Amino acid sequence: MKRILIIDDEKMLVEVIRIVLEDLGYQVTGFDNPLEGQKAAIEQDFDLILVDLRMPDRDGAAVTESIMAQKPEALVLIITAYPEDPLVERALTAGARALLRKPFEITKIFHFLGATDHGSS
Amino acid sequence: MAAHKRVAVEEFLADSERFLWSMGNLEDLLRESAEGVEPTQTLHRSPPTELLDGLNPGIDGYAEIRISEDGMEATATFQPASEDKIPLSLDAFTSVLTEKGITHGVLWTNIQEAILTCNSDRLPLQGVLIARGKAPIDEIPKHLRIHSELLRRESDSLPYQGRIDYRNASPFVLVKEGDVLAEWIEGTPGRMGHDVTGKALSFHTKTTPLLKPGKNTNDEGKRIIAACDGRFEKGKNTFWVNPVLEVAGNVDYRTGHIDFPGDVIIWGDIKDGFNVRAGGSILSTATIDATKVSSAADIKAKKGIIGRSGGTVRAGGTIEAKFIQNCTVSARGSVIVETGIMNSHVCTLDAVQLGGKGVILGGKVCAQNGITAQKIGSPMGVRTDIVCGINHEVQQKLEWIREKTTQLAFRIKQVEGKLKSNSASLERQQHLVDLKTRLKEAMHKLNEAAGMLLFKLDGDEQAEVVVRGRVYPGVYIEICHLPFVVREQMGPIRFRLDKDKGKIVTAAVQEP
Repeated sequence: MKRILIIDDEKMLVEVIRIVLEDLGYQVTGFDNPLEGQKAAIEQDFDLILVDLRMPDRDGAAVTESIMAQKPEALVLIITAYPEDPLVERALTAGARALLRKPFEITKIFHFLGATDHGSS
Repeated sequence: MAAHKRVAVEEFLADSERFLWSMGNLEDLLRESAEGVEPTQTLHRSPPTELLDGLNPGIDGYAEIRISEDGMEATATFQPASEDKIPLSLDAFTSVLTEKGITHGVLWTNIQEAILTCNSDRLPLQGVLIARGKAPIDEIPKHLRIHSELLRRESDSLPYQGRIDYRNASPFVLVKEGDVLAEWIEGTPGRMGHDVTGKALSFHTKTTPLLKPGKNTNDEGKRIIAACDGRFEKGKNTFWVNPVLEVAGNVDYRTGHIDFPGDVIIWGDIKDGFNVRAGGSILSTATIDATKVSSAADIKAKKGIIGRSGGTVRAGGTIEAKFIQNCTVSARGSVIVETGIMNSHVCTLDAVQLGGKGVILGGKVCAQNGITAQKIGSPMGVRTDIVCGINHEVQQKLEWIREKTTQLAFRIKQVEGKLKSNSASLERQQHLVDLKTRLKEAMHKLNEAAGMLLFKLDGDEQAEVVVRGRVYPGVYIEICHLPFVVREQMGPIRFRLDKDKGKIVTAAVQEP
């Protein structure tokens, strides 16, 4: 079963995405605290990591930089409503692969996890 | 004394009358004695007035007959008999009929009733119809009659008073292939007629113009049907189906909304607030002020497309326009624009091609097979989104599913919260558990549908964005889900997907 990590300070959004993705057969772990999420991303193995761009305490670009520094093979997607946000460029430069428009674009999750075998490892 | 004298006078008058009539038929007597006696229409003529002057001897009942000039009608005057005189009889009347030569169409009932009334009420009757001829019936050849429904729709389309949204009133009678346009009416033979004297009257053959079926009609023997979808039109002697609707001026309150099964040519503007739907192509020689314009085939706006209050333009084929502004446009074929796409949402399953000076400024352009433009964005940093390589129709369906699953997940979360609070009764808790199960089932079905659609999402990994001039910061490019944020002015430049590197790469384009 493929594992997805969500780091977003909007707790309800994390829960909603978790419910949808779990129904699709993914194992979902969510954190509304970016530091805790970043720690989990580095310490554990996830097939996909979704990181919100604008969070208090630590923004998504910084989180991405930290994760990619430790785990350059990680597949990170940035969640944002504003592609023109300067942090987007930073996150992409750090190694984030794509942007998910808020609340989330299911098509991109499928795309990056493989459309035909979502949920299966 | 006076009374006695009055009785004596009456007795004298009565005796005198009896005396005169005892001499026989005075009338006959007079006829015999006079030369050039005029023809009479009377049964019994009153005694000569000079003989009766002062005596009032009374008269028998009689009738006079008059035949109309065309010989088609005969009328009679019925005169009652005086006291103690001979009333008019049917035999006597028949004699007069014979005398007048009336042999056909005699209305015996009228005659009998008139005689009875005249004799019993002692009232004269005038102008009683006593015979009627039979008019000839013209021969009618086999002919076509327009289907009444079409004529009704034609008349319905005429302006009328009352509360009505004239945008919904159309002056066009539209038909579909196979609709009945007209029916053959079998001919009827002519019939001879006659006047009241029995004189034969010949019939004519009707010479009114007969309808002939025109183009795009099929004769099925008993009826004429439309050979194609289109506008039903008729002239003086013919009717046809026109597969092309030409609107001479603007689409406005004079035309109402247009919903036509074939091609539509509009020689004026499509005014704001008016919809056009065509089963074929739409050609507008002026501006489309789009509210809702859709075509199963191509749309060509020689001047441009301006969307107002959320206007949409959809084409099953290509869309060509001088410019597109503030509008939502989608096409299954290419979108070809001469000068610019401004603040619009344009989607195509093919490519977007802009002319030599064509600019995309603001809004979002999704083109499965790529985009070619002179400029994208502006030095002012106007946000402009470019998405290529994916099927936007599938994308829209998946986004709809995502929206619904998100709503369902939100509800599930709420139900879970209530269940955790433990404040509900057992019955209520069971209800919440059932509700959660149903919500999850609904979400699962949607997710399954999303899984099926995914196979159709990725359209063209070779799609490119080609900018012949400049692309500016504020422009966001996505090809096959992978992003490229333009941070500095670039160009001429080409953006494409490097699948091996898993990112968008750029290459210089030779300046024209």
